[in-house]
Amino acid sequence: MDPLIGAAVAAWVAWISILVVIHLPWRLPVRGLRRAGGAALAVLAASILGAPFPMWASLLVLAGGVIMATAWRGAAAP
Amino acid sequence: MRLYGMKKEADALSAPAAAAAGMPLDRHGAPGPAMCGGSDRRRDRATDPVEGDAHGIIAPRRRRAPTDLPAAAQGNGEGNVPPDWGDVLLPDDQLPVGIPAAARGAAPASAVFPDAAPANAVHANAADQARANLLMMTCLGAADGTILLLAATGRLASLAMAIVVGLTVVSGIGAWIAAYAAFGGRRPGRRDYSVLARMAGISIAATVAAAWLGVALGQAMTFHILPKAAGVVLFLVAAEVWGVRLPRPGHVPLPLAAIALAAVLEVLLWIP
Repeated sequence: MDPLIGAAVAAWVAWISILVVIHLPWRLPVRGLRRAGGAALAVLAASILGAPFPMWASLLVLAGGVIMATAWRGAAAP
Repeated sequence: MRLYGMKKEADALSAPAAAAAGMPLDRHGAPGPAMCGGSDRRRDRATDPVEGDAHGIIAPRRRRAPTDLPAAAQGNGEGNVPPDWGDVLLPDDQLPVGIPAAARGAAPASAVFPDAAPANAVHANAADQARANLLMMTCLGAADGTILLLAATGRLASLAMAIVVGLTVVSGIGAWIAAYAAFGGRRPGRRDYSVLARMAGISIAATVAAAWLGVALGQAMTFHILPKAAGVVLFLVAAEVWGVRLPRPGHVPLPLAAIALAAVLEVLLWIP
């Protein structure tokens, strides 16, 4: 795939995810999401630097972190 | 509306004297609140620029003064409980000089206190700031060189990598939080979608332009340091997203400083 098309696809995917987030009916757990995003970016960086796991492993970390943060917030809410 | 001076004069009178003078009494038979209206606290908050609303002053309630009612209804100390009349209006010519027009209900507070930002203006500024944050977050990957380096090293050439980069670098947690702060919690309207479409266009154009520049650079030369610098920069961005306060050498964000240093080292490697 042409890298320019890949960049356009990446930006489209990003904005689709933003539209999904806007329509979420619950409040976002900001601190937990920041931790999840930081961990996912760290995994991506490690993959770029040559760590023995693929780049998409960062998506697993991101998804797991988001689910855990949301569940934690839901459990903590009265 | 505040009855300047009249409350003290009423307090100075005894209850019988006040009743004899035709002044309304409160529910305890003392002169004052029934005439001056409501509780003192409410009245003070309604006219105190410090404790008022965002305008500085809450518009006074216009109530009819109980001057044309029988004495029994005004509470004459015979067990009748007068109703809460709220604030008593005085003619403007009886108000002391110096009361702002807004305190008299003659003009909106914003006309008297132009420096006081209305509440809706404060909310509008917060919404504009959140939208600016969203645009900055979605363009940050293109601006700080991350997209450029990823494209230069050929990491945007597959669909899976493009999705990963889109969800972690182009948007990411910061963009999601900013988007929720700007548009979340309510049903977006047509104007919101128009703003989102414009921001998406800018963000996509910036991302593609950065990728084009990276591809052009990658085809023109072979990088030695910049591919590793991309990983280091992503580590720094990850630390910032996590919540670590990174130093800002020379008021420049550390990821940008790292990219600049890597570019300088890359150029130095070309020099024989």
